[in-house]
Amino acid sequence: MAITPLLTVADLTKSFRVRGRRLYAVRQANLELGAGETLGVVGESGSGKSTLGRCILRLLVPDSGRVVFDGTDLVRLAKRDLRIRRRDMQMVFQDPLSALNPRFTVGRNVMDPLIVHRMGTRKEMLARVEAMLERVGLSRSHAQAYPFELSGGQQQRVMIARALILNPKLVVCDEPLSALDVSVQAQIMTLLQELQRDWGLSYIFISHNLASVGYMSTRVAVMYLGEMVERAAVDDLFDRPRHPYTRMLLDSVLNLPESAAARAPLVTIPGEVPSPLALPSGCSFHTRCPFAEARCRLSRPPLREVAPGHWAACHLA
Amino acid sequence: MGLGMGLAPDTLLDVRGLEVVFAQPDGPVYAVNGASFHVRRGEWLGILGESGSGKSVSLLSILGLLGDNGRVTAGEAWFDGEDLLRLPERHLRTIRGRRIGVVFQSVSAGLNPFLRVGAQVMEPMLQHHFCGKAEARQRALALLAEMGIPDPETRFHSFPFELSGGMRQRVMTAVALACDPDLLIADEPTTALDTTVQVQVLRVLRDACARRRMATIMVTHDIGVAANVCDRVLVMYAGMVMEVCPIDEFIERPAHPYTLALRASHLDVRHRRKPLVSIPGTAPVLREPPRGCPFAERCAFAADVCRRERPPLMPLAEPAAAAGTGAPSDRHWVACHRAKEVVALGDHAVVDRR
Repeated sequence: MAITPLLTVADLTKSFRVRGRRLYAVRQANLELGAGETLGVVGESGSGKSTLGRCILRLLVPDSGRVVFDGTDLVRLAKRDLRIRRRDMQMVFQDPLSALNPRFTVGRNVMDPLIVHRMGTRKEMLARVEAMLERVGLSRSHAQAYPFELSGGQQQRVMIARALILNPKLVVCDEPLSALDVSVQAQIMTLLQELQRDWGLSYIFISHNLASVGYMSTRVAVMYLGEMVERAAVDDLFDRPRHPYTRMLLDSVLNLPESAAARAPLVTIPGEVPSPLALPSGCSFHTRCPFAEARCRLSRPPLREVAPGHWAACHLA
Repeated sequence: MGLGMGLAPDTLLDVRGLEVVFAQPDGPVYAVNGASFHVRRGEWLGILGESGSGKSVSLLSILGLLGDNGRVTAGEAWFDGEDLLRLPERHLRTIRGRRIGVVFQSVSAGLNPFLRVGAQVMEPMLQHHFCGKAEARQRALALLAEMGIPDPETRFHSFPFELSGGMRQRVMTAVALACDPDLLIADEPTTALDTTVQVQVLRVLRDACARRRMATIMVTHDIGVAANVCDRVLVMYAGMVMEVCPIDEFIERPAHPYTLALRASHLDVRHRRKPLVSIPGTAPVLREPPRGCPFAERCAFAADVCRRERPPLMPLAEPAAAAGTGAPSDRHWVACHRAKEVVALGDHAVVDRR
């Protein structure tokens, strides 16, 4: 990792009011991201991974904590200054059709950030848009098409083109593959990796799919009920998981078996994620954890370094 | 019956030469193009394909659930001696929900948001005069428990919105199983679920099917799901059956270039450094019936014959060493002009040739 990280998130907490109660979507999250690096954020629905992504770009304002991007704390930044910083940070959403303006052509959609930030003349902007469309694997002629006329994979390429048109340093990708077929997922992942290599982009790659996170990321953070329960280099996390929840997640992935005899036994850990409105005491995972002891119900384990660069929030890790 | 497909006497559903066309404002779309398949009692058949492959449409059409713009233009679907495609809707309604249970991917399509869970599980039993009200209630509670829903007495009175996605999927399965169907059709039953819940639901489903010796056809786009739970797998592309074989053959001896491409583009948490192979191009929307092989334009093996002639679904020869003779088997069927070369190469056949 770089000596000065591009992004540092410290003690970030975000809650919402739901039916008169506090719902803690993210609790005291910490992370660092170096230039050219990809941090994967993985977790089940309701784990807070998308909220974390939105807080990082300050699309949501966190309750507390810091988001230091390129030396500036975004949480304390005035709206006007934030706008300028936003050029450097973009987002790719899961559903391109709802994130693109359906009344605009593809070209106008991709040009939008240039117009908002007043980057050059119309002609200059158009040239940039066309070059960008080609860079993401579309053709210039796609500029005249409307988003609904394109396939899902092409729409996601348009999303990526729009996110990259301002030459950002950081791109938060929130489930960018979920709406796509597997063969197209592979195309989009390859594209994201090429763009990262060529332009030194940093990614936060949010997904519920462990396999794509494992493929895209240099480091991975696992979230459960708003908490970061484990964080490590990708191989350490996948090959030597220290948190029982990470192990359970990895075991639940149905891989293509090597032989018919090696099929998954479909062993399950019972129970579901508890309601975030009624968080368990102590360790939030103790209600489903096969190793839980008395202390797990009583005290919340802090995220601590259990091996060099490998952090886990578990009393037993 | 027979026709070389080697149909066993316990065949429950036998679909032959199914063709489905959708009328679109800009002309017809050929969604299913001569698909044939069967499922035996107690067997779990997986239909694997990407969006637009015709996998869901095939099943909806035999259930008589195509939308207004969809039309079956050819084919037969024999279910226990009756051709479902030729039954009047009135008669089909006595089979659907009674002898064939259906689970959809989207819970919103399958459950009524205004009705309590218990009433929804009881409904098919009362509708089909399967049993009396008191018995239906007992059965509904037992089904909810069997589906792994904790505290069924309480959940019986819940509304769907009060349940998690995984629990709603279990309720929908209970509704589908209410009248003890002979066949369960499950369209992407776990796609919307998290992986930990997916495994739970698949486990419950598999156990319930085994207990009843019920046949299941599960549509999925996830090769990991298909490979780990099905007895046989059918791979569909552009409304055609590309390959169909028992699970051991599917895992160990895939023979269609499209099956190999699906395997190669499947990401594996264990082999994260494996080169990522994507299938170039996109699946076609057919504006006319396919002339040659519909996969040819994306296929690394495509030869002239592939663009000219539609490959028939043919039995694949057993490996010579195993069978002694290399004779055709009726276990493994492939629609590919070059299947022999492809099966010999296996996963090595797939290289990204862009």
